[in-house]
Amino acid sequence: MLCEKCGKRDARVKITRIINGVSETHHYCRECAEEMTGKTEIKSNEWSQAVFKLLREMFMQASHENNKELQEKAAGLTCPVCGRTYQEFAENGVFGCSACYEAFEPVLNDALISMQGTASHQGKGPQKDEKDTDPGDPFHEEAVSPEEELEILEARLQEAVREERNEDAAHYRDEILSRRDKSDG
Amino acid sequence: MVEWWYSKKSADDVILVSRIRLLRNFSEYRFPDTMNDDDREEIRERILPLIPDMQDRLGMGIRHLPYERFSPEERLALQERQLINKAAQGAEKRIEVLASQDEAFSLTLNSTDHVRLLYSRYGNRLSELYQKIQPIDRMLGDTVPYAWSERFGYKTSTIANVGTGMRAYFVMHLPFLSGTKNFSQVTEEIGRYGVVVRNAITEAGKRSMGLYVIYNHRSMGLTENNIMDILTNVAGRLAGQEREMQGHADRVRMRDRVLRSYGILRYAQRMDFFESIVHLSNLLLGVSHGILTTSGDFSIYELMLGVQPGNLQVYHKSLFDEETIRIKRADYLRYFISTIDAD
Ligand SMILES: [Zn+2]
Ligand SMILES: [Zn+2]
Repeated sequence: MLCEKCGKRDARVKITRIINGVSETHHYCRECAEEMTGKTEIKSNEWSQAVFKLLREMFMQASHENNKELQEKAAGLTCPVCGRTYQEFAENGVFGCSACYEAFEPVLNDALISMQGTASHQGKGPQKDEKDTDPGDPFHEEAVSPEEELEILEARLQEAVREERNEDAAHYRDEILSRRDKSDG
Repeated sequence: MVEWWYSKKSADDVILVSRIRLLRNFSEYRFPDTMNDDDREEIRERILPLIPDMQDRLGMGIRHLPYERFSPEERLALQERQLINKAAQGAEKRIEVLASQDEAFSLTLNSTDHVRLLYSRYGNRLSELYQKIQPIDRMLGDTVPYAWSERFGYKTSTIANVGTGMRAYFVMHLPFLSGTKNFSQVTEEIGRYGVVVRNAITEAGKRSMGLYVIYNHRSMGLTENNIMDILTNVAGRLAGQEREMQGHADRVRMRDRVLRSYGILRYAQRMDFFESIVHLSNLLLGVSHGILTTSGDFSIYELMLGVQPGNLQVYHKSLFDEETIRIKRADYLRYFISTIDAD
């Protein structure tokens, strides 16, 4: 979908306005959305949108010249069992086989954290029942509060700056800004 | 027919349906996106002989539907009744669909994932459904080992479902709550817990008529019990609010709303899908407040499934154009509504 305002860039941000109890939803690109912040409420993370968008973006980031290391890392990944490349995976977000997970593991982390809020499994497996050590009331301990989300993003931003991953840093900065705007009302 | 609606005794008027979906893949085979026809056949040959065992463990009859011979309308009808998903409805490669006689249980093989297990029932009972589906899950994984790792959990075809491979759903009827000003804030707040609240039925340009689906957005990093606890908790809060609002509603207005819809459904000669759902939603309200009494062996929610185009055409075993569908929908509704009494 293209941005409703400029009609040029991909719409990445969903803005919901509530006027007299009626909500209206618009889709803008990051740039146009930033321009309008303050006037509207930004819901920047529509993770339920197709995963592959995110993966494609990550792949493009990885392909960026400034980021040779990650580029080589991602571009070189091919599943030894089904032959699916990371690039193919990034295009439609579909794994070719079980071994793809291990093959793409080095670059799956970010996608999992963005999509799932975590990159490691809890819960049962084929040979075991659900862990007895219950992590407690999920309402109070599992759900990540907006403040915690911000903290996580800030830590990731600092890490990215330290490692001079400029594209990543810019991405985290934008995420943090849009969330702050949101919480400021 | 969706017979599992028939049992009205534990019917809940706000939390209409509970549903558990599990996705699994087998480690020995490539995932459906890259697997070849031989793999498909092998999986079919290893899983289908388990049907008698599945029947024993579930305590109900299971049919292997002749899905490859189904017409597009028959496939659509299954999708409208939520027995298969849209991907399976449009599948070009051969897939297998197993379903219990009452359609509470279904298993789709070789669609987007090797295994899609589904269990639905009326009312608020997620963990009961999860317990019931466990033996089937275990049996499949014992027969052909699942693709699973300590770190990733169940490896699904996309990362959207990885980890538990679980999605827990409720279908809820929230006619009053959804009409309030801050409902969208409420749903946004709920989103913080990883729970999505969505209109169950949408049509371009038209808004809610009170029927919602809620489900977990995240499948990883939470245990199966966490997921069900969160959903049950959220649904309980929403249902509590809804009941309170219904309880405080003006009786005359409520009766007016219900009986107007009753009159329209009882006498209309043509009916759009969306309009029929609006009125059926009001009938549901009428039944739960004793304004209407059903004597027939059906539930209002079942009618909501039945008025969809695929189901109407399969019900009549014919193909209709849009106008005929409207007329048949009105016929279908008059037939059932005539068995409902107004107080
Ligand atoms: Zn724009
Ligand atoms: Zn692979």
